[in-house]
Amino acid sequence: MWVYQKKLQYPVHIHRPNPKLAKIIITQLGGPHGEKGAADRYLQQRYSMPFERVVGILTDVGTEELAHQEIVSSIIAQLTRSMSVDEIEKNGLETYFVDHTASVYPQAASGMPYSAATIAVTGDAIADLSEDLAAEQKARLSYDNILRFLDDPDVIDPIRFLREREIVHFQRFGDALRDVKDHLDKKNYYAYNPEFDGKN
Amino acid sequence: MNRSENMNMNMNMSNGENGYNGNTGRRNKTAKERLLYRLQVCDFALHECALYLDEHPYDPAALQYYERQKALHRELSEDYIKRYGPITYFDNQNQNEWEWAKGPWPWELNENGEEE
Repeated sequence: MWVYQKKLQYPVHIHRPNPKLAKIIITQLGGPHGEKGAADRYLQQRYSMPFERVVGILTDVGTEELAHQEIVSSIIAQLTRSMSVDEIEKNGLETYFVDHTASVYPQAASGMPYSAATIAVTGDAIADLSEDLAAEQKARLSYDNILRFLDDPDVIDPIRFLREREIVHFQRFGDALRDVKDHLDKKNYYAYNPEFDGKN
Repeated sequence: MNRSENMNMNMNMSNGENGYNGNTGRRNKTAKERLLYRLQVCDFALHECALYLDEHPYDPAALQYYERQKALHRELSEDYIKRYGPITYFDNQNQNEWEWAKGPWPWELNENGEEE
């Protein structure tokens, strides 16, 4: 289970609203490399994972991704606070506004709603952890691309924190993949799938 | 680089004041924000430690660091809860009022764009 803690993992305090930035940053909530997908991916991969330490990593990184979902959502909420209809129109947010008003909906920058089709839960330990390593790099590059458009230090600061976490998670999933391989046949890592073979 | 050096590097990145300049010096932080920030730094150190320990469960340096941060975390959380209210719904202190659901929530700023 989870228990909510009434604090952000990293402070978000944006003095100047800027709806135009919200339009691109929202992709890290509900886009193909976003935090919501990250949380779903890692937490759902746990149930067939036979190695306890790897389940530990998936649980703790997955839980941190929930905290990142909240940080990105807080950034969107603060960037779009007290918008006038004029500002909505000027910044091209009217297509979002008609469906969601000033709420925070998980979607990509393109407008595509969050989809579990952007994540993989394969039930194969090597495939899942390779997916996780790639996912961390994809999130990192999205933050790098977002940073190209930012000049407000209030926004840059939490985005940089999130970017840095992707790199740390990449290292930790590297540990996990090594752990999986240590359990497998050294002459042929693909000789059997430890999440399926031998259990049936 | 051995494992514990690698771990210490990761944790030192944000275990001081230098990782945080989000408020850009525009006004002084309130006492509540300062205490919250100390707690967030400690949370972060513990979380980094946990991610590392998941795959290195016998690393003596990491376990020692964990114990130190755990003690600090207990102290800071108790202090914060006493002054500013519950962090989780296990922390409600007032037997005559349910304070857990009182705002502000962590993403909220007041009309002047400041934390309350």
